[in-house]
Order: sequence, then structure tokens, then C-alpha cells
Amino acid sequence: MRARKWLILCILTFVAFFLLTPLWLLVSGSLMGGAEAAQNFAPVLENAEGSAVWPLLPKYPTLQPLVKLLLDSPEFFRMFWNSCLQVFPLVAGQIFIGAPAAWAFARYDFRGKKALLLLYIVLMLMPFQVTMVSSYLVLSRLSLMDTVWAIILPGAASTFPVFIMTRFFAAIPASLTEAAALDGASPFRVFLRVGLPMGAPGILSAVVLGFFEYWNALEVPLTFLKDPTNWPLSLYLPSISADNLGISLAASVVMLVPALLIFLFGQKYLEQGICAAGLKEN
Amino acid sequence: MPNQNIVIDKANKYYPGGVHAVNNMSMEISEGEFVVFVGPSGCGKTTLLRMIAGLEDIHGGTISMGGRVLNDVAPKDRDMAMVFQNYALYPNMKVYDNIAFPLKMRKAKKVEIDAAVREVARKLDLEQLLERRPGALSGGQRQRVALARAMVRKPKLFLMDEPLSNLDAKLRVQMRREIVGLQSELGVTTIYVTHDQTEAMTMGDRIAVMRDGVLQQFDTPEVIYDRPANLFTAGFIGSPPMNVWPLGEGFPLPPGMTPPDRATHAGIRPEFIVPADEPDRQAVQMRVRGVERTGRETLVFLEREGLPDLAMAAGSDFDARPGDSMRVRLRTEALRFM
Repeated sequence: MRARKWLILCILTFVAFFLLTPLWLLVSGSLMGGAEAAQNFAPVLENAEGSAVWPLLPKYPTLQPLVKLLLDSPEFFRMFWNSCLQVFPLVAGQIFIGAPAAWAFARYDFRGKKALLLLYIVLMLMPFQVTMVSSYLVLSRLSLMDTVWAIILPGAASTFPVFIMTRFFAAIPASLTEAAALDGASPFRVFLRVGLPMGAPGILSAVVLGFFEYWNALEVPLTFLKDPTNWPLSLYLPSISADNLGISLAASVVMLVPALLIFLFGQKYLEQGICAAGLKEN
Repeated sequence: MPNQNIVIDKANKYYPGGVHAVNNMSMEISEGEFVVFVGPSGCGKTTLLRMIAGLEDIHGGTISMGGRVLNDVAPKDRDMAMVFQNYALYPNMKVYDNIAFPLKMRKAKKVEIDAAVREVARKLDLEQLLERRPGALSGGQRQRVALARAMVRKPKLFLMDEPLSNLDAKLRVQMRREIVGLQSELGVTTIYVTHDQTEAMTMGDRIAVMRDGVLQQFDTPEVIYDRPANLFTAGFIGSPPMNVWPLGEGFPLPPGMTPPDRATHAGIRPEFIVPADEPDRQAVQMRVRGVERTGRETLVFLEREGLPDLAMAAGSDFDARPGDSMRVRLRTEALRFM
């Protein structure tokens, strides 16, 4: 039994090592000076002879790329702000629109409920590429192209959070909502006072999954935002040239921070959400 | 103010698949009365309770309180409080907020809410638990909180759906007494659902015995025990149940005793079967099939070919063993006809 435990620990450590290596290299790369980076990666970036070297620790660690990024890259801040401006209202919108819809699916019986839920699931399973053209046409007709609303509105109306939250709301015992109704709560107050607090894990799952999806989104902003001044941070990294490799790695680290914080805060809910959705990844 | 009697008039409830859960149910419950709905699982007792609460649609007939038909009245406007089998306490709220919830929903003033919560908490011995969450309470404590939440706003009707079924036997007896005491003190009409006949017999002013959605008998515990209206009630109430046999078979009726015209069966409770002496000409010889000692009494199960099996309740010191032969006599004045 003990040997088996050790074996499992060894295997997991081995796997974890492989998973953590890129993250470690990213951090170590972000502490690498420009000259050292150019020297190490010259065979890849400039077709120089020999092979590229990515040391576990830089020879001369420096915060120079980070300082340059944070103090000398106004476009980074603009795009970081763009990301916040797009993702936070979008996720809030998902909850604002999705939670009542999910509550209705979970707690009420109405004509056409099954067909409507099926439609939601079909829409949820459709990749962005399928709905891209129609979304483009609608946004264009509404003159919303190249505005922050082109990202927020379609995202806020996403069916995925509705699906996640429906599962959680449905698990609330009926006796609780019935007790609230008998205690004098109107249907809206039952939702507000019992549904929302009891369904909080589902809502947080939807928040965490939604945040990850849109914080890292590439295709949606590339399609709907022509003006680079509106681009989110996820489009900053591809736009950095090879000369600024250190800054690029530092930007990657900074971009990871909010996602990492959200992950640490919402890991439990993220797992519950993934279980509820029956999906491995979003 | 008119009396707040509950009148159930030919109420019906159907479930998908043609299940007739409540079948032409009619009864009148007086203001201040403690009525128990009792019957086996699936008899429709909880469904009827939920129809009264407004949690189930009524598919025929009416339910009214104080002359006001409730069929289309929302649960929140019925002025009823319900205690659920699983207590249904809001897990995200402290005990204080759970109890205060019905008053908050009615937009009562903060001072009034606080006074009412503390008063009911004192009555139910919950003062020390007000800051805890339901998850940190024992089953008995949760039950008290559920009762407190029902009592706090002084509704016109208490509905209780098997509220003691999740408690252990000792606590159940204690809570049974407390609920009866509180009900009598408050004088609020109460409808209590249970499948436990002991609860029904000990708590109710009147008992409604139900089976397959049909009301079998609605009367006081004494009448239901002493004069069951039909075979089902005779078999359901009492432990062991009434000894029953078809008229014309089994034990002959004593001379001069004539059953009512529509009666098909005769019956007698186990305590009215007594050991008989040798010269007693009305006694019959039977064989002891089994003996159960409850401490307070001895239950003797008797058999004889050509006669129905009998259960006899004797004193705790009665001595009999399986296989013994004994003479017993039926106290004919206790014979009942169904």
C-alpha cells in the first residue's frame, strides 16, 4: 500500500514537472536581459548557427523587461485596460442575463422548455467559426463593429453560463423555495433570497469559466475589432516583435496574474462547473 | 371576523399517467383544531397538505378557509406556515435570519422582528443558537428552528409534513409532546401529516385516515380506534391491528347479536381477547403460534384450523410459550362490525 502511494506520487511529480516547466521557463525568461535573450535564442530568431538555449535561471537576472513593460509601454496598459473593459462587463452581463434564464429552466415548467433547452445546448456546442458570419452581419447592421459592445453583447448572451447555472439551480431542494414562497416571498424574491445564495457555486463556476474564455480570446476581438487601439491584452503578445522577447515574456507573466488569481480563488467552483458541464475544457 | 374553518369540498388531484392522487376528498376542519392526516405511503396525505398550502394545483373541487376559496390564491397570500420533513432551513442564513425571514418578507419593522424572533426563540429554547447556521445544529435543534420559523408570524394555519420522521425515537416522543403543547397554547389550526399511527393517535384532536387518495374515516382517535369504519382503518390503526374475520365464518356471534345490514366482517381488538377458565362454554381452545413481550404487555398470537388467527394482548406477567395450548374467550361486548 505504501509502495503504491509512493509510485503514484512519483508519477504525479513527473507529470507535474512537465506541466510546470513551460511556466518556469516563462518566469525565468521574463527575468532575462535583452542581450542575454538575443544570445540564447539567436539560432531560432535570427537563424544563427547552433541551437537555442533556455536556461532554468538567467545568467544575469534582471527586472529590466518588467520595468520596461510597466513603465515604458503605454500600449500594454491600454490593452490591459481594454481587456478589463471587455471581460468584466461581459462576465457580469452573462450572470445578469444568464442567472434568471437558468433559474427559469431549473425551477419552472413551461411549454417548449425542453426544445428551448435543446436549442441552448446546440448553440453552446457551436464553435465561434460557425456563428462568426451571422454575428458579424448583426453587429455590422447595428453599427456596433469596432466598439467594445461587439465583444460584450454577444458574449453576455452566451448560452454556456445558462447551462452551467441551470445544473446548480436544479440541485436546490424544492422544499427551500416552497418554504420561501409560503413564508411570503414573491417568485422574484425566492430567486433573489434563496436561488442566488444557494446557487452561488454555480454562478462562480460560470464567472471563472467565462473569465478564462474571454480573457484569453483571440478570434473574437480579431474578428470584431479592426482598430488596434481597441484590442485586448490577448492580442498584445502576438504583436510583439522578436527584438522585444524579454518584454514579451514579462507581458505573458503579467497577463497570467489575473487569471491565476481567479483560478486560485475559484478553483473549487471551476471544478464543480466543469463537472456540471461534463466538459474537460471550455 | 368569520370563523377560520378549513373546508375541503370534493377536492381532486391527478398526476401524469392517470394517477388519481386525491379522490373527491371532503372534510371540514374547525378553527383551532389539531387534525392528523394518516395513511400508508402514496395515500395522498402529503399531496392534500400541499394542495392546502398552494404548492400543488387543485384539479377539481375547492379548498377554502374562513369562507374564502383558496384554489387560485398564491401560497404567500394564504397566511399559512409549513414545517417540512427535511426542515427546509435556509443554509446560507443564521438561525436568527431563518426565523426572521417570514417577517422580513412581510416588511415588518426591525424592532418588531427582533422582538418576535427573541420571543419565539425563548419559547423554543433557541436563544443560544441564534447566531449559528443550520449546518451546525443537531436534528432536534433544526426541527425547533423550523417550528420557530412557522410560529413567528402567527399564521392562521400550521401545516406539518412528517416533521418528526428524521428524529430518533426518544426525541420524537419529546417533540411530539412539545408540538401538541405549543399548538394548544397558540390555538392555531394545525394539519399534521404522518404515516405513524402512534403519532396520529397521540397528537390529533381528529384523525383523517386515507388510502389511495380516498378518505376512509375522519373522526376522533377514540372513535377511530374503537369503531373503525371499514376493514382498512381496522387494519391500519392499532398495533397489532384489530382481529377481523368475514361474517358467517370463524367465531359465531353470540345469541341475540345482529350485525348491521351492510356489514360483511366482524372484528375485535386484541385487548378484548382474554384467557378463559375450563368451564367457560364460550371459550375456544387455540394453539400459541408466537409470543412477543413489549415490557408493558405480552402479545400472544393464536391459531386453530377453521378459525381466523388471533392476536391477544395480555398483561406483562402473562406466561405462554409457542406450542402451548390455551383457552381464550372473546369479550363479545367489544365486537365491532364493518
